[in-house]
Amino acid sequence: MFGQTLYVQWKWNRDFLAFYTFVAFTAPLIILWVALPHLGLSSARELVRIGGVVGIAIAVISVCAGMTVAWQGYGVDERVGHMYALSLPLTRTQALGMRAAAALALLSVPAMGVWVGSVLAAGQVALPASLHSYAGSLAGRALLAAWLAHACIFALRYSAGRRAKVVLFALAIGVGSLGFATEAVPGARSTIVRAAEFLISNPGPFGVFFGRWTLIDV
Amino acid sequence: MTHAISIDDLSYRAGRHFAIRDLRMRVPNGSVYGFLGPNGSGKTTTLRLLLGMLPPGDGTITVLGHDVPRGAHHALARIGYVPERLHLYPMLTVAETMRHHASFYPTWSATEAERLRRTFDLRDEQRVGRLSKGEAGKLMMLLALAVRPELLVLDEPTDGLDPVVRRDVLAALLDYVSAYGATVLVSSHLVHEQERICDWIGVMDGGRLVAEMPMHAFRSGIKRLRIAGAPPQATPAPFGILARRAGPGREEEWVVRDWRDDMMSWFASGDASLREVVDLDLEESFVETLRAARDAGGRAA
Amino acid sequence: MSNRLLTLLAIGVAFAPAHAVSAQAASRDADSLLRRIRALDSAVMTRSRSVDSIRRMLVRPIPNVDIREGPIHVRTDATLAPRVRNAVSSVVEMIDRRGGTLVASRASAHVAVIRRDSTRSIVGMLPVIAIDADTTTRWSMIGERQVRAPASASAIANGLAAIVEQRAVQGVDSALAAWIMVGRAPLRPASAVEAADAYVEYATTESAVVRRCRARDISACLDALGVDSAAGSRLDRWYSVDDYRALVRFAAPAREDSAAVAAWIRCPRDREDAACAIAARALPNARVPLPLSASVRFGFLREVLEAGGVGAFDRLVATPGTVRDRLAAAANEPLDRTVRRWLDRLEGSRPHRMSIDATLVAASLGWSALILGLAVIRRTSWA
Repeated sequence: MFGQTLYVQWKWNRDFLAFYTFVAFTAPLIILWVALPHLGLSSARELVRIGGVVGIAIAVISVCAGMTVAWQGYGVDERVGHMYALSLPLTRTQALGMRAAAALALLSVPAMGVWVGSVLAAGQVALPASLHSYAGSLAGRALLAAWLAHACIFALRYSAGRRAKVVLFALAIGVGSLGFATEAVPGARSTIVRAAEFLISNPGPFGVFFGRWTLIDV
Repeated sequence: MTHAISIDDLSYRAGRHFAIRDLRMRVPNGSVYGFLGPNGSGKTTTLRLLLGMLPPGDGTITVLGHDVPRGAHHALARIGYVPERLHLYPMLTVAETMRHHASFYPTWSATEAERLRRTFDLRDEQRVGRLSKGEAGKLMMLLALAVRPELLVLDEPTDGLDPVVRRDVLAALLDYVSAYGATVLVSSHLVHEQERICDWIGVMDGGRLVAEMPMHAFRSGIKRLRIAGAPPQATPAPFGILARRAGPGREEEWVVRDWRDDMMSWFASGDASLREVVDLDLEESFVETLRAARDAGGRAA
Repeated sequence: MSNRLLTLLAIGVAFAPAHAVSAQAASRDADSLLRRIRALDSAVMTRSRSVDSIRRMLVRPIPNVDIREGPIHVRTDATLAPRVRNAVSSVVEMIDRRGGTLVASRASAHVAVIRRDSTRSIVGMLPVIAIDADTTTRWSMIGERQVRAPASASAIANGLAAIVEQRAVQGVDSALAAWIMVGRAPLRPASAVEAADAYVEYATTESAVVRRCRARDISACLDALGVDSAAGSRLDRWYSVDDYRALVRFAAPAREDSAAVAAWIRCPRDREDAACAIAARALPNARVPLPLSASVRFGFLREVLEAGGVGAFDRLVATPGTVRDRLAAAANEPLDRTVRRWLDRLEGSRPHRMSIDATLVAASLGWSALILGLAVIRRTSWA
């Protein structure tokens, strides 16, 4: 059952997966290829900065990959009105669990692309003894971020369905309105700031998205 | 258990204008139950409700002994379902679709599936999204039959298919039923097709089941009578009067159900005289049943 | 009318007649003018203190709880008193352990006021607890500290300790003050962020002498820290040709040397190494920056005071001689040993900023599972 679910998800998503894997593989190579001729003879700080650029690019690619796989994966059933999925002898939990697990397995492909591309990119540079490349950590963080991004869109699609776009839009409006809320409600600002700090730091829900993303560091 | 499907007091509302109300339905084990009704009467909705695809508003549904929707996944493991439109993943090939479907059903018969694939002349490498309507219909029937189900739920399985394909599909269905004695619930508005294969009939109209009886009773029990001198108010009769219409002169035309020949003697005891008994085919019986149900609904409103 | 304007007006009025007199008369008049300015300024100061105290009484309530412990005297209000007491105790302990008598005497000269300041929340900023360093001097060099309310005793202690650190270096001689540069003494232990930042700078500074320091050349470390005042070209001692491009990002040649300025512009714009060399060599010796910044030197000074124990800061300030002599006296051991220990601690502070620890993995997987679980909540189909 799971094998076939994985196969269907792969076949439906393979174009996007190929695209993201290609981009994740080439981004470190291209960024370093562009930057290398401009590096000085002794460039530790510049290397750290360029490593950061690679990291941010990988972060964006990973999040986009996770969100795309979740949005598209829902689409394969949406296209046929969910009739086939509903006619199978599975509970909702089993069906969604297998879909989510399949997507999580598929997202390891772009993460592998990150790792291989980063290893090759870092290999082009003569790093000073005080600097190290973090291809493995970057790929690991990319995988975790892709999974979390996937989970958010997956939950939105499978619980809100056709109303997902409306929910997303309402969320965006809500977050944007927080600034006004902090002025209107006394004491709201410190609560909102503390809540935001929890959300974006480890072990908050979005801690993996924030923090340091870099290929080259001390 | 004597019924493969039991529905009691089922209610469901979709939007402001469509509702299923107080539906009561029994599909006997081993029967081929024809589910007749005009477009928009609620047939497909009823099928989806009993498969657990839609949440009922009220009432109980039991399919193969399992409560639906709570135990729907248990029932679905023993059901072969063919929907009215292609519901398969378009990017898979025929072979991939068969493999995918097989993985969810322990009762899948690979040999039966292969035999049907050859019978229906489907190629392994054909993409589902590129199949013709007829090929898609055959593939859906193949998947439903290869599971070797105890219950087949077919929603307009031959709608839009050419006569050759329709014949192949029905032949495969009847072969399976005669070999395994499965129960079949087939929804259609093609009355003549239902007449050939069904032994029970249920007529749906406006979200209500207006008639449910064995096919022979439906076919033979509905007659058109030519009456002369009929009283304005008919005294209680042993048959059901579906409609009374004015005929030429002082004659009236009655459409009745549950008619038997020995009921002619009822006219001898009264002022009315029976001039003629006309047999109705299934389509005419179906139309008169619907008309009567709508008239009764209008009078009640 | 604001006090600043009064002073400017006073100065303006005072200078007005100076244009009309002769040079000798101007000199005599200048002396008397200076005396008049000082008198005016003193009057302005006195008036402004009165205005300030009235303003404080009207705008903020004067705290009424006095807390004295050791050299620290703090005034606060009843709601903050328990936390402030704990904070004062930890600051006193810090002074005893690392500060010495000099720090204690400077800390005891003033009364700090710690109060809740909710006025800031009216204008959209976060409510704070304000720690005013000195309520008796208007133009205090030491600024107010703020900690976000509500604050723990340790946060308040941190703010108070920062003020004590600033007071500690008030009045030290210019040579030591210039070497310390950050305007406070390292009496508190380094935070994890400080230690990590110091390591990052140590690991990435583009300087030949720092590279030798990283290879455990102790004299190179002392040179990079600006402790050794060796003669000769700082450029040649501290930077190799490879480092010139990075160097000229932080130092510019004299404006008058147009050729050097042109090279300084070409260096980053055209990535021209020859231009970088011209710009670097044109730097006056005194303007060649120390390879390691003041924050790294600050960390080294902390190591020196730690090594020297009680009285270390007193010895640092009181000992005459070069910075190296003073540091050695403060550390009370050969400076080479201090440097080795500082290097060990620095390298032990290497941040693992890219490490994926178990908490991150568990948190992200856990939250993913929780969010995925939301998808199952819908009662039936997803159509």
